Amino acid sequence: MTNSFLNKVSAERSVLSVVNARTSGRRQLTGLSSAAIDLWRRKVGSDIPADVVALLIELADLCQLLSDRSHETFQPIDASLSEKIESHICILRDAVARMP
Amino acid sequence: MIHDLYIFGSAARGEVSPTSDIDVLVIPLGDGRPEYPDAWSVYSPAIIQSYFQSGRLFAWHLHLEAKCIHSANPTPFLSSLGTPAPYSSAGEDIDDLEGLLRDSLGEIRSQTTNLIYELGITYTAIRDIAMAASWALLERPCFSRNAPFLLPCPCPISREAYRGAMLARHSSTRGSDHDIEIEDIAKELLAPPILSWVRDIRSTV
Repeated sequence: MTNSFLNKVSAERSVLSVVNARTSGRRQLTGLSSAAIDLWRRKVGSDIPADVVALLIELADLCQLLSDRSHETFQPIDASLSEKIESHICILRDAVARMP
Repeated sequence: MIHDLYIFGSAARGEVSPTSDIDVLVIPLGDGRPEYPDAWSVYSPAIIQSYFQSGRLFAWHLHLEAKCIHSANPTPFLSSLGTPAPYSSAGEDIDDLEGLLRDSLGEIRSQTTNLIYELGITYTAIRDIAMAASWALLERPCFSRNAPFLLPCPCPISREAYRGAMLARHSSTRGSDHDIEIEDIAKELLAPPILSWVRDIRSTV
């Protein structure tokens, strides 16, 4: 039942750890829903470069593909999805490191 | 767009609180890949049918509680599927969820920087374990968010801590910004023997 959810949680946890290494506490990113990313943008404010937000949105979409709601419904399972997420996380790590 | 629309979850049960939202299920019945709001649950007819055939708990949730609010056909799709097969994977589901819970509690214990996210995952795991166990432990499966407290052996955490963890989950999924004392909630979740409770439940399923 939960394998796809477990995979999604694991991927989301990796993404959040990269971001929250820089913006923890009250400014932490709480999830990868578009609403959670918006909340984080409002809390952190103008310190967030546009490429970081764009990467988070891309990663959110990729993580969503791991869950029941999307890949089992309309899209074939992409065998390289995990690698794609890992590579995006590396790019995100670099982008977050450049945050002021 | 040709589709069936349902509501399910707390609103369909009449359970309303200040934090309630409305869960919407969409079953697209036409060709193409239509777009819907992010928060809506979109499942193809084939997947829903496979859930009914394999007796997944989600199929029972829909069968027992989903209310059709629009159907493209005279007979709504879910009605056409009849009764799901018996739910037979409660034990495996609880095992998976126990792993999820154990990982999340471990992250909290190690003072993760993702505390709000992990509190929310803890809430989800506890809630879903109780829902899975309710199949065997109650007269009918329970899909209430309060399921952990409605079992014969209630979850040993305080309702306040559980509610705080639920609000953390809402922050993750809905971006809601509640003023919750996350460190206090974490302490309250770590103190009671939650994993022993899960093992006790598992032994009865």
